[in-house]
Amino acid sequence: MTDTASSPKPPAPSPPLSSPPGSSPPGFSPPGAADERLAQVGVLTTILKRPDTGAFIGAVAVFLLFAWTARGVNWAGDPGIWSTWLNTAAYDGIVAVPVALLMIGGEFDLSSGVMIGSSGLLLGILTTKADWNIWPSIVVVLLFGLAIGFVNGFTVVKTRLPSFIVTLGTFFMLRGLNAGLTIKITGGVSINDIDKAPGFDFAHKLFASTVWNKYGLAVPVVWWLGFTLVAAWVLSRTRFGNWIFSVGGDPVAARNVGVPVARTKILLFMATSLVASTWGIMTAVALRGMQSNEGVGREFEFIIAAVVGGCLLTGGYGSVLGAAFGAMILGMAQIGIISSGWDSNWVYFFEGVVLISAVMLNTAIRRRAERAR
Amino acid sequence: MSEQDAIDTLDEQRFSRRGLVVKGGLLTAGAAILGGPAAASALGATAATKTRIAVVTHGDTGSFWSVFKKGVDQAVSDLKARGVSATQVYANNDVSKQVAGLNAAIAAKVNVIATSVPDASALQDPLTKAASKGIEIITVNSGLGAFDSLKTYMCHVGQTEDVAGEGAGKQFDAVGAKNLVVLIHEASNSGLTQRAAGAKKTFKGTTKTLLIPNATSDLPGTQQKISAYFKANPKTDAFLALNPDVATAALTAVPKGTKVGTFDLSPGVITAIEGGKILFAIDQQQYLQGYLPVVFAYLFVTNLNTVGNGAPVLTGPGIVNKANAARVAALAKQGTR
Repeated sequence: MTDTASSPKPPAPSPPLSSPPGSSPPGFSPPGAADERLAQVGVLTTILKRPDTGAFIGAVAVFLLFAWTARGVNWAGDPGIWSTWLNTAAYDGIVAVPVALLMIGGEFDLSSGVMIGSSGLLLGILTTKADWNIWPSIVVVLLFGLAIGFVNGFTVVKTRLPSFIVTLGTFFMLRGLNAGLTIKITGGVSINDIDKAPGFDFAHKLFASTVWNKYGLAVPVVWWLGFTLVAAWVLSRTRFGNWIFSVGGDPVAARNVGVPVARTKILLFMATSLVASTWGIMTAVALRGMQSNEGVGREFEFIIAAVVGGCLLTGGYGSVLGAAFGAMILGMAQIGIISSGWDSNWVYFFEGVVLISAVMLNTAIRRRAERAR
Repeated sequence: MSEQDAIDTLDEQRFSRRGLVVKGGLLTAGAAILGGPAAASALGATAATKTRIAVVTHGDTGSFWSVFKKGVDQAVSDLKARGVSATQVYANNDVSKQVAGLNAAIAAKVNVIATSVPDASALQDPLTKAASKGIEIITVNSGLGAFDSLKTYMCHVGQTEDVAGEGAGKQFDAVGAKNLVVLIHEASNSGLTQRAAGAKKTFKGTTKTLLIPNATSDLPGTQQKISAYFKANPKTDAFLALNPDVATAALTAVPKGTKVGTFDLSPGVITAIEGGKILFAIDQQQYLQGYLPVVFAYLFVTNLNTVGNGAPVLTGPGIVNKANAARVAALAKQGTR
């Protein structure tokens, strides 16, 4: 496990990676941090204090649980089953990456789920109704994602309304557009035959093929890994990463030390919508079509992955790597229940138990580590 | 769309009535009445009687209801010369709009109201009022049993979910499947569990259900869950989807040789049936749900005919399979399937 995403709030003392980079202005660390840094802390405490430790332990525990309950289908040893739950995890994990950053920055985006559908439908309309090549269509869809993200962020920053409300409004508007415009343009609630667009084959290779054909490991897993590594690097190694923590922790203090709070938040909203659009494109290419309901309700899975991964609902604390573990827990839970042959009517119940346990574990570990300090 | 809340008067539309002929033999009770318009010519003497019908549904103008509307349009066009006229309201799931449409129909003193019943309690008042004014009531699409106590209740024209499910079970029996899984894509939708129960009733092998909540909003994830199910239950050889989008998404997730069936049609499903990837689709033939009530209304007003003394007229299950998929595809292009 690389040290990717410590928060400055309890600064991890020993590994050099986690201290704020030299380029950031002084005064970034919360008051009192300088003193703590001098204290001697054991390696175990250092690990336990990481926001993603709880999620990692939770992921291992859930894996072991299903390795036992689904031993009949060789849950632990069959790479095909690994692929199944890793694919499922990637489908949640890709968008959970920017959602985690946004939550660390102190905001929510409830429109991230429905953006998947909007983007896929837009891609479908451009390729099948306007007969565009798929690549310019993809560029337009990504610009659309950036624009929606900008509107979200700008509205939140300018009106100072809670992002929960602003993006809930965006959610409903996009949902209405998805149904209304699709029916108006196609006469149906779905768009088909995206694969007839020129350039589709390469797009399919890039977004929707398998990297390990024998076991069905899907390309999105690679994208997920890539997004996670990039975001973890940004969060822990760049000035912008420090800005994210500071605007989520205390925006007033952040502004006082010169952090461009508005710009940071708007960029985070834009990143979230951009990645949701990317996933919408990938879904549309994979399914060779799109129906207007796609993505609705998924925003909670992204938020859950981030929260299970150690992000605080209040902002200022969290980890991208943790969100990846959170997505793995969700993926394993969804597949493991089926692999274990449990009555699928209990899916919701089990997911609830997993979530509460994971978050409780997170909190318990964090409190214990903070006491140990 | 602009017309969804408007009461639009119909204009004449021209297209083939093959849509009805093709279904021959698949219909249940409703089939008998298909000769209605032709037989009615014998009643030439009563042609002067005006039949006014109001069709008020909760539907939208999406792919499903547009076919329903074509059924109404065609029936009115076929019977126009015999004094039949209709108004239509599509309330787009807005129950207050539907109530307003019903009240407008009562005020206009129509002879017959054909209405869908998404919410029986909300429609209680206007329909009771309509009955007290002597307006005949036909329920369409949904609402079986909701208003059969009204004194002017004529019949229900629709599909019952359990009978439709039984039709699916028989299809899998016919190809000798042994282990069936039914994917239920919404939790707590009683219609879906009724379909699954119907399939279980007629299917001779083992039937299991797999619940994937909100499957239609996460189709890539649904594919992974389906393949996990087949890994855990390798003997499974038949798969029944209750939604066309789920069915087409499942095609890449089920093992080769799995018999796949689905409820309802979509362009993707028809293509897959033609290509032999999907065995059959259960079609509730909503065109009939639009066409038949107009005919029933005409026959009642002009000849006091009733159908089945209040028993439901089932428009499904119609089966679309490789044998008729190409013709159904052509009809779907015309918008009647």
